[in-house]
Amino acid sequence: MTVDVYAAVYTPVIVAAVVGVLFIASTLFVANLLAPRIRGRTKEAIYECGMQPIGQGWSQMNLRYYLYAFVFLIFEIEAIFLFPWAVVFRRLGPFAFWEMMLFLAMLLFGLAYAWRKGVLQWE
Amino acid sequence: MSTETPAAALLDPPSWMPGVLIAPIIGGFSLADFLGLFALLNFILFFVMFEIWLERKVAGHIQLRRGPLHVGPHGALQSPADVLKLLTKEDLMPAIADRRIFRIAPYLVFVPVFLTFLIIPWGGLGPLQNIVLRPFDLALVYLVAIPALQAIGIVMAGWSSGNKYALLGSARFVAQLISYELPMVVSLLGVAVMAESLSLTRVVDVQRETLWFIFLQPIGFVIFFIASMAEMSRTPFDIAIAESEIVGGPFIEYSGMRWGIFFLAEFAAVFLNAALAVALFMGGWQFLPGLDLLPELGVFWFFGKTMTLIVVIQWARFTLPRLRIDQLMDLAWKALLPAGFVNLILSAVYQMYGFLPFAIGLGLTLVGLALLLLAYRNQRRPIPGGIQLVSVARPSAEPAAMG
Repeated sequence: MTVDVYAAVYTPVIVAAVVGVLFIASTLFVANLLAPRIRGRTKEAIYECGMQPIGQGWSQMNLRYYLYAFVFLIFEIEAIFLFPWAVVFRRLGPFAFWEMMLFLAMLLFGLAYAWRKGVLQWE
Repeated sequence: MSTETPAAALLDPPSWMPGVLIAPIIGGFSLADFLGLFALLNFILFFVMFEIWLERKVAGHIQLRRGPLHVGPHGALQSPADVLKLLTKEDLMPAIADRRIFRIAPYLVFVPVFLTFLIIPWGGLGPLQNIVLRPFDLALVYLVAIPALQAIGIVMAGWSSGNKYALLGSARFVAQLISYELPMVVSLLGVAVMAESLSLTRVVDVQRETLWFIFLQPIGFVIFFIASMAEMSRTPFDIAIAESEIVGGPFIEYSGMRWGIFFLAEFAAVFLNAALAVALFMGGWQFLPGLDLLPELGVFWFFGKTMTLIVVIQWARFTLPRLRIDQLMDLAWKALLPAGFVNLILSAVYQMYGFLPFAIGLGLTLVGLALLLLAYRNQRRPIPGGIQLVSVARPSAEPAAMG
């Protein structure tokens, strides 16, 4: 077989995911058999602490953290570069080490800039 | 490209084990692996029941109550009774819910937690050495990548419920998840630098050969522990669930077993994160630092340490008040993340150039930190955010009030 061997190492994840899904499905199936089901208008209303629900459930809201999300994205991508570096940098020698220190310095400068600009302040 | 052969369930399968058990059936999974998965599912179910009972007991005793008492000895059968109740409880769904997404959400919350259990190095039990379902080479990346999928499930649950509290809760949940993801990743990088490997079994071995990383990476351990607690959204960090405020957040409209699945995932995640902290920082299944007592009982040492951490997590839950959201964000971005990077850089310096440059770097960092604090001390605003956990109203100093 000429399957990519390295990818094959991770196929069990899919198998295990299927097992997990089957487990939940069977649990919910059993619950479905055992549980009563009596419908009703008030029962199927959404819960707002016992009061009559006001307006639509899908209301507009302010996602205040989109700036955090940008910074998050930058650092998360950088982490993917850092993981392989962390394993081999001793073998690669001082150049790889200082290269990454420079990279980190730029990133941390970015973080400091965002901090000073007030991006990290939750208002 | 030559790579290692697909890893088996046991790193060194003993010779007496019949070939039928080890031969791969589907997707590199052997019969032994399937048995392992089955055992894992059962373990999760029973352990979560035990953990809930333990948590209620711990809560009770911390709050000078006695916890569950009536069902079984010391209330030990309370959890199975609760599961039976959940199974026979009506499964409600709001009329305006987005039905399909509402049904899919519990799967997306539970399955990532379950998948992360694959990489836990359990240790040895009797003749079986090094039990681990999948010793991936990239385990450290895997354990960041897979649990992050939960966020999608949470958003789906919050969105599909058609409830304002649920929407709000899921938005908070994601804000919290992405904020604490970074410190966690950075603390894992510190471990990777020290172990020079991304494999969890290798990390445990390195700790057995040298010293537990809790001593070599104390900052990393604290960051990892806090971040994992925040990612589970447990009480000091539970503004996303906040029963007393947004009544359960994303899970508000769920009931019966569908709701139970979410909580199964949450409590399984408590065990998972404690176990990962043990494997990453506390020597995995080694008995004591530098002492390999009875590796045949490794599973028990592993469990002992994990249980200790679980009780610490519960202790935090019933001792600390809930953080406000700006405090939560400040803790992640302004305290844990810079500390994590300092830890990473200093660890790399130590690995590259040895102890003396590391010590100089540490000294320079402390001096720099002190200078920064001095420079900013006078500019600080009068505590609108800050990283204080509590703001206690101090009793006035004048004794006149005593009458």
